[in-house]
Amino acid sequence: MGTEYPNRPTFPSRPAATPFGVPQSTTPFQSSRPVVGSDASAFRPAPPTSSPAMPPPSSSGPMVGPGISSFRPMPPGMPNDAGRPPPTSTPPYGPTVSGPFPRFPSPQFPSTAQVPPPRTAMPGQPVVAAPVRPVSGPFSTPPGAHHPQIQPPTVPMGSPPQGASTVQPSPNVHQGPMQSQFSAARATSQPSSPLAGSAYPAARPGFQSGFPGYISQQPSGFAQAPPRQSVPFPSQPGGYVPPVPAASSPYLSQQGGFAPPPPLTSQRPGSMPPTSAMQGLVEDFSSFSIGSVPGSFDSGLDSKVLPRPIDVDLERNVLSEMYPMNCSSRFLRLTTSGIPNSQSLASRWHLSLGAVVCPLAEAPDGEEVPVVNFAPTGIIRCRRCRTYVNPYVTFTDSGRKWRCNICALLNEVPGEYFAHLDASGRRVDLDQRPELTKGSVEFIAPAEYMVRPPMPPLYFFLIDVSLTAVRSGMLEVLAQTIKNSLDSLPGFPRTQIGFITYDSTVHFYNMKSSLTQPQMMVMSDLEDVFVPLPDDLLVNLSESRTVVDAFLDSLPSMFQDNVNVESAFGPALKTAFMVMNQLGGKLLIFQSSLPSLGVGRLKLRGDDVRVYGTDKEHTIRVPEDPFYKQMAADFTKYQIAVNLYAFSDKYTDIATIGTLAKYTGGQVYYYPSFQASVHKDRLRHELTRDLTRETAWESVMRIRCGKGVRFTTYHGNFMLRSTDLIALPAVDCDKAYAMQLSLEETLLTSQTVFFQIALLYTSSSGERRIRVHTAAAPVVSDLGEMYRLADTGAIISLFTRLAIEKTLTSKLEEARNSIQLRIVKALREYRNLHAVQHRVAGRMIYPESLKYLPLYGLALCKTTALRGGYADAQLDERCAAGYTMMALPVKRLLKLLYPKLIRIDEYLLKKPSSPEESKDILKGVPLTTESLDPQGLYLFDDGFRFVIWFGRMLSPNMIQSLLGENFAADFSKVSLQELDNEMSRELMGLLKRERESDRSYYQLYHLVRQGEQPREGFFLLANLIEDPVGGSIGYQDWILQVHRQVQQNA
Amino acid sequence: MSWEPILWLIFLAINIALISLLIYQIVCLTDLEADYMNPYESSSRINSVVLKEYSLHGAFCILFLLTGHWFIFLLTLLPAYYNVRKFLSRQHLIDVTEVFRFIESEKKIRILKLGFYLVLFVLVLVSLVLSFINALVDEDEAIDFGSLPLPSFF
Repeated sequence: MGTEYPNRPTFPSRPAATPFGVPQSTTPFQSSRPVVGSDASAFRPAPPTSSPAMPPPSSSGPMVGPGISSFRPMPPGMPNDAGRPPPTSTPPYGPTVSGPFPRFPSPQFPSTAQVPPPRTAMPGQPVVAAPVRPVSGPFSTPPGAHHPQIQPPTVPMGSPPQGASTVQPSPNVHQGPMQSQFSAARATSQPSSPLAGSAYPAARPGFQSGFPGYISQQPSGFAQAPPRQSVPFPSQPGGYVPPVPAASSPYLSQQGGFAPPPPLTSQRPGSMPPTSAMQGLVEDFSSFSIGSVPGSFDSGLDSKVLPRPIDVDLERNVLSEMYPMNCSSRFLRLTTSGIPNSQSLASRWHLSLGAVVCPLAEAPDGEEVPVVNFAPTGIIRCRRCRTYVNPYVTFTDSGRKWRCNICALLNEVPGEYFAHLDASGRRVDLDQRPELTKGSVEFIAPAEYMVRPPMPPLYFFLIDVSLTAVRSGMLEVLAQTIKNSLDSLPGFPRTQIGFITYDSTVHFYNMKSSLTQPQMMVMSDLEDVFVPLPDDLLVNLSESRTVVDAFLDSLPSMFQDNVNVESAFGPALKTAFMVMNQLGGKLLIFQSSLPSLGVGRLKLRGDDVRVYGTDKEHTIRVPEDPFYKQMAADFTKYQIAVNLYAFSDKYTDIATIGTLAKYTGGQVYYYPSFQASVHKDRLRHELTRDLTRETAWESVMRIRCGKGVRFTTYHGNFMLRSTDLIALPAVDCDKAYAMQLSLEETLLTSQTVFFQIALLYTSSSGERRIRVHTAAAPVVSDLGEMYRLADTGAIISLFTRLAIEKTLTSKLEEARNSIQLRIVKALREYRNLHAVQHRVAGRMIYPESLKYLPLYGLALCKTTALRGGYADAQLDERCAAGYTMMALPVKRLLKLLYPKLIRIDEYLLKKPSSPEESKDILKGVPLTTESLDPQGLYLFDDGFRFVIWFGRMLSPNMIQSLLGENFAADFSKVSLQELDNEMSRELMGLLKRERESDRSYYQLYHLVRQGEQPREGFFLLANLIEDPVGGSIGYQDWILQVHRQVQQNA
Repeated sequence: MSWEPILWLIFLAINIALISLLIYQIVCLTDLEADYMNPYESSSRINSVVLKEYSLHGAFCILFLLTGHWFIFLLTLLPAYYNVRKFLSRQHLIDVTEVFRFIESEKKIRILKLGFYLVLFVLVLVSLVLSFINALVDEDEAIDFGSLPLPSFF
């Protein structure tokens, strides 16, 4: 048994361990058995590989790369081998191999040796082996460890032992734990690829003990089953034992070293502590018991055991060791890194296959994306599929050709780019070619990538100067902030700037550099808009700096007596479009009242309670006037991005005007009831960030992926220009996009799927660039493996977007139900995977990778965008939250969904000296009222605001030292200032650090006293998502509900 | 009764016009899908003919009603109902911002309509031929149409 298992595990593991290795190794296994030589060959390459690791792996998918170079020699031999006698082939290979292999090889070989006979017996194998060898591609499939179905041969090979000992079919699939171990093991061991190959054999022996358990767990070995049946068993059983002898002497020697337990120990330690079969099982899934007694109120569920994402980093890099050249998960996250190999498997995965892409995510120092200039050569791309050269392409024909990893086409290497290959098939200049070693690079694009000269950064401001804007103090803060940011606008000295203000008329400002004061022109004809002086409204900032400064200085005073309450927003928008459409750029709109004049005027709607809960409910969340959608489309066409800042305390129909931001790749900032005294800092910070962050202009983004899979739908703030081309007039690090993919073929034959994100943009410095992120993901044949490789953050991110889109076509409740349904289906499928073999009655079981999924699902249902009904959130707030969440990167979204709640009074008292210590004290607590101690002081942070909660029994001294004389006053009027004492300084320092940890939004603080209604309820209690608040369900009940539904029809 | 053939000729002309309008729209959509056309152009082209198609179909429908061709009138009522509903819910125009999300369904409905008009085309053509024969034969009073296996609605 043990042996058997090992085999299985190996298969999966290989892929995991190293992409490169995988293919090769897999091949070996499948065919390998039969063809010793092949194995050997595989191994050989490996050794070299191991050190570089990279090059070979890249090819792995196709196998071609590493395999090819090294293998080539083999091919000829291979066929023969395949046919028969491993022994013959072995000798040659053996020697070479032996060096590197020592450990692993032996096992394999033996097996191979054994196999040979079986093969003959087995019809499938021989055949397979022969073809496989020659063609790297085919092989990859067989490795089929992943795709058992595809490659019966493989299975037999690996499985033979298994078969002999046990007939368990499932093993392959589940190796989850095993794999990880293996991979680790390999990593440690050395050449990943070779190891993988060798590892398998070797590993098995060692692992066996663990495996058995494993296998047993995994019932689902659909694919495998067939193969075994056909062949392996008979031959294998016998073969297995004998193998050793059979194997050539060299092998034997290896085996000797290998087979013995030692390998096991060594391997396991590396990856994980050795696990017995039982342990393996335990690790296979997580669970907690729900011992509910029917009829009793006590659910039997201990809320303390429920998983919570407190103080954990959900950034999963499951593939980083398997595919070390993948781009960072900051840029691309897949909902599951295991791509299903068949449509039937995909249909059992209910969590959406997809990805979340954040092309310009901020990279920490030292990990900046390298810039590559191909100036003399032109950018190297595949002739057919236009893929950019990346670490996974393979060079062949002594470096004269390269094979595209996505479409497998052989391309010529341009003369200037040519480099010799070394013995292992790697280019000798690899270390000088970041594009061949890094998953993320930036190419400088030559003129072919421009339809016009790169545009300058352009900021245009459309400012509402009606009564409410002036009264709230918005205008003043705005003018100051813009003025302060002028020096740090990107793109100096090319930056262009312009202003239009509007109330019931539209005002233009001539900022020609020859003037000393701006000239204002008023247009009162709203029906037939035109632009006076089209050339002087948009000026170069560095040339007209004094005029711009003068304008911003006088702006607040110019309108301070304005009593106009109308808003000619539509006509103003049209004129802004006319001014900007020559160049494109960023349009910042500051809107503080409902558009009431001219085209695009909007009605008050959304305060109709009766519409909620009916089939027409969604209509208040969709744009009312097609004018705005049309404008948005035109803006995108002319490379204009719109950022909307809305300030009104009354209804402004964010649902409609927000579309301007949605379809232009912009963002909606909503400051309900803006008051300068309260919101000043937030507006200042967020506007400054908007103006000064690095921005990519006039960009388009496309995601390419390997044959057989295709991106079908895209979700986020952007407009599609063709079926797969995302138009983004301006992008920055705070925007992420989600997409779903589907399988186009019923069966994937490749072993690895590659994804390549390409963002073509103009940098602020006026350079046209292409940012390319490449990632590889293994194709798996087992659902358990998909679950193991799942990424909760990406799944939730995609769900969020899908749910928000759903609220535009149906009721809120339906959107919430669809989330719940998906989670239930996914957990049910997972349960079915394991329920057969384990007694799980009364237990909720879930994969470790998805342990927070139910909680985040619940949190999602309770976000502003989706929660409750009419009364639970203002319509504008709901829509603004929806637009914001559509663009949020994964990490920020998770923080918004499950905010941080920390107790800070101890921290303030102790004043920890070291960061570690303070981290220790500032531990998060569950988001429930039970974790609020009346003697404590708590900080709630969801990334958008702070709530500081003062317990009823908090020591008065502390309150006094934090708030000064205001400690007894009404907290809604108290502001936090740094007072002259240690504690106050600590608190302000803490807030500052929290804000600096992520600068894309600014958290205003709200002080709340325990028991102070309704503020406490509004600010804090409603956001304690684990509690049942206002008719919504609590975490515990939610889990019970999900559990119950999972069990139905289970 | 010489006006019968003329009437059917008019029907035929309208029908051909409708068919060509639909083909035009379908071509725009497939071009968009294949990336031969950008969404702005494609949707503005389609949108420019949608209302023409609707009103032409309305006229078609009413003409059948007025001339007493009940069966065909009832047939044409189906798409007319669909058109009116779309129009009233203001969804008759292609939304350029979301065109790719609905491209499949938009295409499908247009292909269905096209099929409908092709069937109608055959009916109209047969009726036209019959009415011509009828008009010619009338003078000789030679053929008894009651003996032909044609549905009575012709």
